[in-house]
This record gives sequence, C-alpha cells and structure tokens, in this order.
Amino acid sequence: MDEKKTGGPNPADTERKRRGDRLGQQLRQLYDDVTHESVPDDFMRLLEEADRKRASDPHSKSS
Amino acid sequence: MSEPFERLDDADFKLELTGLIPHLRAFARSLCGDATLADDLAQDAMLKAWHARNSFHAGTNMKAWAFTILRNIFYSEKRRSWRRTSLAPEVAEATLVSPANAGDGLDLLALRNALNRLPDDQREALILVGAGGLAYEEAAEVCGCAVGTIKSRVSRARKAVVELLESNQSSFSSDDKMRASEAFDDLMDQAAAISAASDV
Repeated sequence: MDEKKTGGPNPADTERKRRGDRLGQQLRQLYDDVTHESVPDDFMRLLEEADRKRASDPHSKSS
Repeated sequence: MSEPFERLDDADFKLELTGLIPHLRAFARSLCGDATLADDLAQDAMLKAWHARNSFHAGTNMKAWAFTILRNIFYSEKRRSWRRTSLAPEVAEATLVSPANAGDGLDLLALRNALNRLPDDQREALILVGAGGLAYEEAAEVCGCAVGTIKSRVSRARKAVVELLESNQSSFSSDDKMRASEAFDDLMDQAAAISAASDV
C-alpha cells in the first residue's frame, strides 16, 4: 500500500485549526455573555457615592 | 524617581471606568466562577481603581490597569471568599444554559468545565488574551510576568482545553456532523478489523 501523502492540506491539521478557531470564538462568547448583561445598579450607586464623597471632602484635591 | 505624567480629570476617568464595568465583571467571573462573588470582586476593584485614579496615566490602557487591580484583590484575598473551587458543575449549568441557546450552552458548559480544570495562571492568561482582548504585553503586565511566559501559558492552556474537550466529546458535543462521520469511520475500522480477524 502506498502511504505517501499527496499535496493539499492535511485533514488532521485542518481539523485542528477548525477546533482552534472554534475555541477562540467560544471563549469570547463566554466572556461576552457577561459583558452583554446589564450592569447591576449597585455598581453605579457605589461609584456615584465615592464621587460625591470626594466632591464634599475639602482635603481631597481633584485633578 | 518618577516621571511626571498626564492625568485624566475625574469626570473623564469616571466615564472611562464606567465603560469598563462590564469587563471587570467578565474578568472577575472568569476568576471566581460564582456570579455573585464575582460582582463583589468587580465592585471592590472598581472602587479601588477610583481611589487610585491619580496614579493612572492618561493615554495608557485603563482596562489592563483596572484588571491588574482586580487580579491583585482576587489573589490577596482568595483564601477568604471568592474561591472558585466551590463551583459545582450544576451551578455552571444553571448560569450558562438558557433555553435560547441550549445547543451552544452545552458546548460552553463543556468549555467552562475545561477552563475550571486549568491551573490558575493558564486560565487567566487564556481569558485575558483569548477573550478579554488584551495584547500579550498587556496581559503580561496584568499578571506581573514576562511576555514570553504569557505566550507559553496561553499556548499550553489552549492545548489542554482542546484535549479536555476532546476527552469529553461523546458526552458534551452537539457538533453532530463531525461526530457522525468520525463515528462512522470508527465503525468501519472495527468492521474491517473484525473481518480481518475472522479471515485468519
């Protein structure tokens, strides 16, 4: 039997690349599932509070 | 000795930090696993970043800067609360699989399970570069290591995840076409082996 490879992409390599691309896409999806969620109100409330504290604190110098 | 650097004024800083909150949440979720703990961590990081705003250099990457803060909090306090080891597979399933993407959900669940089995340093490198969109150099800064180290962590992580996913294929994959043809080849090989054996 002739085992010699002829030209063209090795199916194993193509498959590996396909899996790699798919992995990258799924990783981003996992991450973006979170970034696309709406941010809980707590975050802005806390940030606004911290900002107001700074504004009312005579010792803090802004910029 | 430190060079003078340009600062953002508070309003601009706040605006940019606000825009980063979704990323802080996503990175925290990848570190903690648990969504509630992750939000606590992300909130801590956001406030710490706000208080440290005078040390942020305008024009540099605020995402990488804020991720560094978040990561430091996580690792300095990980023994206390936001440990990921409590993440049970059922919890992952509950947070990931929604009816809208049940097919995808299975794949993502398998991916998340595989990520959970990586060493911490490999997982975070893969997330930062592969999902968070940081350059290798930025990821290296976040993790406090050399660029080459990040590159090798990312490549080892990729390899390990692919292997883990493959070892789980039969139970998790919804990629029917590929599986079907592989299964078919398998059957044909077995059939050939059996007939060869009976010929002897």
